[in-house]
Amino acid sequence: MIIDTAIGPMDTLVLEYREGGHENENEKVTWQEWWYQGQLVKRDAQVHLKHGVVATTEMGKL
Amino acid sequence: MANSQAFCTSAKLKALTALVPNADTLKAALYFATASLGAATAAYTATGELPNGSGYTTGGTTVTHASAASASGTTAIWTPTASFIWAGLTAAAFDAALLYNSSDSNSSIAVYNFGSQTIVAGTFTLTMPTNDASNALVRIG
Repeated sequence: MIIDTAIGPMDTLVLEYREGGHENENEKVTWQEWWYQGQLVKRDAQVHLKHGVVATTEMGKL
Repeated sequence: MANSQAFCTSAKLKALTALVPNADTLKAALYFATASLGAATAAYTATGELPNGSGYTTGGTTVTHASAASASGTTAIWTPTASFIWAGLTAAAFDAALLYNSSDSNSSIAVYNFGSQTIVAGTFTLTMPTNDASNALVRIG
């Protein structure tokens, strides 16, 4: 398969593929890398936000 | 039946709807880990933002928000209906996205911080949390 890389379109057959990720309480991250002769030529990443932001309201007391 | 003091859910929903009106254009911009965005960020700024080019357009991407804010229990919630995606991107060491309203003087809505990312001739996807009272992207509880 031909993919676009930092040095132009390349066949994945000549590229080394790596993937990984991590997860914590705030996010889940996955990534994919393609290397050519020791050079990182393409990297995708997906960050899944587990939680957004919250504004909490508070009532005053009479 | 007894009365109970409360910040009415309808008022929370009204406030959130005013913050993210369906008719407005909302945008998300990416920032280097060296930037200083936070609660004091009142409006979109190009300072610390990824530079124009290499798959990124300054100002960021337009947010798809087909659904209006809604209420979940006593919490007003809103989450975009699609991920934020930057394709053909090359950028290093960015770790934040600013959500802002470009129809309202570029006023800031929220800053989202994540682990520092590097993309090489690739696609960066920021996927949205579940739109519920515990996780929605913007909540007034």
